[in-house]
Amino acid sequence: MTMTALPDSQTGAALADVLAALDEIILGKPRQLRLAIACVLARGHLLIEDIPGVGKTTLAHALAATLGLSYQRIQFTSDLLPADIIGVSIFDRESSSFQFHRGPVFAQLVLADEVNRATPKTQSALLEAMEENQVTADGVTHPLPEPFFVVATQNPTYQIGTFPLPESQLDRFLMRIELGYPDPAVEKTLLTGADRRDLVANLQPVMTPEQLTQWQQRVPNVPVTDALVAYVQEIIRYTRESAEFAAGLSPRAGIVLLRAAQAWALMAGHRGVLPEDVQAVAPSVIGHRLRPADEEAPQSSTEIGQYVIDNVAIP
Amino acid sequence: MKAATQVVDTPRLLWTLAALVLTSLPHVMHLPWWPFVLMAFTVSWRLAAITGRYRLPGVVVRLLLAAAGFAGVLLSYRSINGLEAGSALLLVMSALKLTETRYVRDLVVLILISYFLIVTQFLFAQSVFTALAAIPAVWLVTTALMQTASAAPPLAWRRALSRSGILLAQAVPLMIIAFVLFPRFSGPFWAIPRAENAAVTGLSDSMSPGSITELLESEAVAFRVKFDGTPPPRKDRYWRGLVLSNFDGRTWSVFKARDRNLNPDTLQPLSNAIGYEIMLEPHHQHWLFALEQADPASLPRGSYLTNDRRLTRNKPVTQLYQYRVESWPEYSASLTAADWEMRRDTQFDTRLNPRTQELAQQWRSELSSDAEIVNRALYLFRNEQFFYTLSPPALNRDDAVDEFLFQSRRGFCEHYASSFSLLMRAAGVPARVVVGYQGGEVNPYTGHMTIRQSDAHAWSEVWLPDRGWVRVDPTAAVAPARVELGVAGSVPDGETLPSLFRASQLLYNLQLGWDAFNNGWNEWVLGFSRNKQIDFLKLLGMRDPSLRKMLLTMLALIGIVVGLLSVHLLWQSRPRRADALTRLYDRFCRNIAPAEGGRRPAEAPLHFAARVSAAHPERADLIHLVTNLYLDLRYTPNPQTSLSELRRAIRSA
Repeated sequence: MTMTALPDSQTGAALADVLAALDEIILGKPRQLRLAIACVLARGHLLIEDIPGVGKTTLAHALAATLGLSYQRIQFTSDLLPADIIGVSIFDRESSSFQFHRGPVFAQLVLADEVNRATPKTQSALLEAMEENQVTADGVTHPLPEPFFVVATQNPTYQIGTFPLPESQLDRFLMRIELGYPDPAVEKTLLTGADRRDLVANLQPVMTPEQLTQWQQRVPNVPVTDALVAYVQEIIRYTRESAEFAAGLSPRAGIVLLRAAQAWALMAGHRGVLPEDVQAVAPSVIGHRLRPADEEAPQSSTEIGQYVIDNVAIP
Repeated sequence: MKAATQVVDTPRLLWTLAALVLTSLPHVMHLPWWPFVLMAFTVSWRLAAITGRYRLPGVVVRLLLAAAGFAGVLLSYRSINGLEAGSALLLVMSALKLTETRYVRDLVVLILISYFLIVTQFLFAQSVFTALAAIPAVWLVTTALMQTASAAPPLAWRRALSRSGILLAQAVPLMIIAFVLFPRFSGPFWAIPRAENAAVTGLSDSMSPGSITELLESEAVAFRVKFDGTPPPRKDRYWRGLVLSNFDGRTWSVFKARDRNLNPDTLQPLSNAIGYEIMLEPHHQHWLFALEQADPASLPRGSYLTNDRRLTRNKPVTQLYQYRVESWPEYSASLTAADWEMRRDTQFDTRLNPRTQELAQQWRSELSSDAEIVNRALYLFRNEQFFYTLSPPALNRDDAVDEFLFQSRRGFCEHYASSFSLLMRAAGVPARVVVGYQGGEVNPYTGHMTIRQSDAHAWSEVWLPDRGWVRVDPTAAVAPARVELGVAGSVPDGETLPSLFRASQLLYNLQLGWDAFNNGWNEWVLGFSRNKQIDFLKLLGMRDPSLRKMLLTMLALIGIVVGLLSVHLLWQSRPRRADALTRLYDRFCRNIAPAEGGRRPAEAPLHFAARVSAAHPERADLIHLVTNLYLDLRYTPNPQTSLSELRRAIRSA
């Protein structure tokens, strides 16, 4: 679509540069990239669910590099312990006291790779950190860096040796996206072109963390009219009244949907949130928050989100 | 959405159990205890099974249980036919159905059975209580149905109850319309089967010492009467029921032979007729009641007078039965009585009650006419030490009349009527006992008269050569108050009253009010017969109500109600009245590219613009302009454009 409605002079260059830089690395997935950035802007966390090898890790790494964020990768395994994430206190002989050694979670962008391979106990250590933006060890609270953004990747749950995140914890992620296979043209470039990892290593930040924080602060200020709120309410009402779903969207889900739409509108340069913005983020935001009532309802989370969008009239 | 094949879950199961148990419990009143034990057992089993620790029985156990239940019903009733056996079978089988509820559709079956269980209550009784009790039951069962059959997860119970309450409230107008207008069919089209051993208090076809006492203690209504004019005075209100001509020394009973119809010529009116309407509570017997003496020309259809002037109906009265009769307070009957009748009504067992026989024969030799003998007997009751009491001493088995007349001398109507009639027979005067009711009370709220079981009475009839059959009430000779004031007024001081209601003015008034209410229920609900329906419809202004007219009106009214409800629902879920901006934009969307079918409701404006521009590139600029203006106006708080600009843009097309 060539059209950008209501261009906002202030918006633009910086975010467009981020997108352009990422597009170079992750080929053929502009929509997922935009969603990922919207997720960062809305101060949410991102869950990428797909089979291994489609570029989940690369996306997270590239995102950190482009946004100039400190980056840590935690490979989740079945024997990973909470302390391996948040850090441990070790007795320091010289000062005769315990010193807290920060774990890998103390980074601005944390990639929790294959999060469903760890035990629930370890998973919840990470999820608590995500919720609180701080870590408590031995009674001492350590704030996490600002901005703080978690990208978790998850293998589809039917693979052996996994602990799928329970529904209540899925809710901690603002969005859940899938990358999917590349199309043939992109595939060819991947096969013949340079190694993506080298490209990531050479990426230059196009934005500082401070600038990112400023963008984040602008998200809640993107104007929302009554007409748009009515639309979001219609979506929520539909999920609660429709027989397709075991339970409707929670009030929190409604709030984050609106926040994500604001982030999307900011990126698109809209002067207010449009129904299009809601529709763009909704499949990723509400899909994993709804559970189909039975086998005849749409099953995959993206399908569920799209089903809702297709069935709610814009008031 | 398929809920039917969904596996049973706890909330759905609990709703179903609640519906089933609540609708089964009232059947305790007329069914044996064991089906309820069985149900308690299967309910517990089903509840235990939902925890997963126990399993539902397999097919062999289920078959055995079903066979046992079936055999249980057969053992209890020797049949599976009939109202009670049928109800018991229904209950047993629904209890057993619980053991095979795996899917939601099995629960739905049980809920539908629960509706049926409510209906069966009405086969046993059609009182206001039954109807009132059915309201919460229907409410609960409907809620259970809504909760269980719906694919959506069950609602919280308050919300569920209020929603089903609204559903039922919407059905109330339909119920009233159908009640008033649905054509009533006369005849046994849906006759209610008779409850075999329904314990109905009422007169029986025999009378032995003590048999009426039970009645005198009962406040149950026997029938209600509405007189055309003023009712006759209490002392003349003898409601004739049965004539007991057989006497075995102790028990008076009905002469068992084929009834002979009364020859109307043997009856002569001596006064004007009084017309009245009786609403008889079901007593499951053939006899009807009427004031002495019913005019044979005024009888209700399907009934006749026997030659001993009992009013009898072809069919037993199993539902509230309403009929109209006219009676002559003064009459003469059977001036010429048949010989066989005279012989029958002078028979008695000469081996029993020797002293009574002796006394009667003494009178016969001393006195010259039958009338004098009657007066002599009444004189005896009046002037010797006879007492009217509801708690007489027990009498000895064989010579009860002797013992009563010469020793105890305490009793009430049955003792007096019995001993008087025997005295007459022993003296050669044809005599018999008549049982029925005496008195009745006018309800001040409605003006109708209520005759209760406690008004039950027995009196005698003697045949005198010049007057025919004459009513003689020996009780009135002993206690004139019995016929002038009723039982309550004639019981001696210090004896407890049979009824609590007579003890307190407040309770008595409550009872009268309740009676008035029941009378209305009988008259307007149970007694809303075909004739009453036609009268009522005429009153409402329907000229000449025919079957066709009633049905059409009913359908039309139902249509109107359903229509109104639909309009109401549509109005509630109406799209909010679009403002000028939306209307303008919607019209633009419809008109810009008719071939594209306009904007779909869920289609965002930019997506619509892209779709239509792709199909009509020549209009792309206009479409984009209008879309942007619209989005700006609608989705930004401080639009940089105005409605008139949008209007101009559209008009320029």
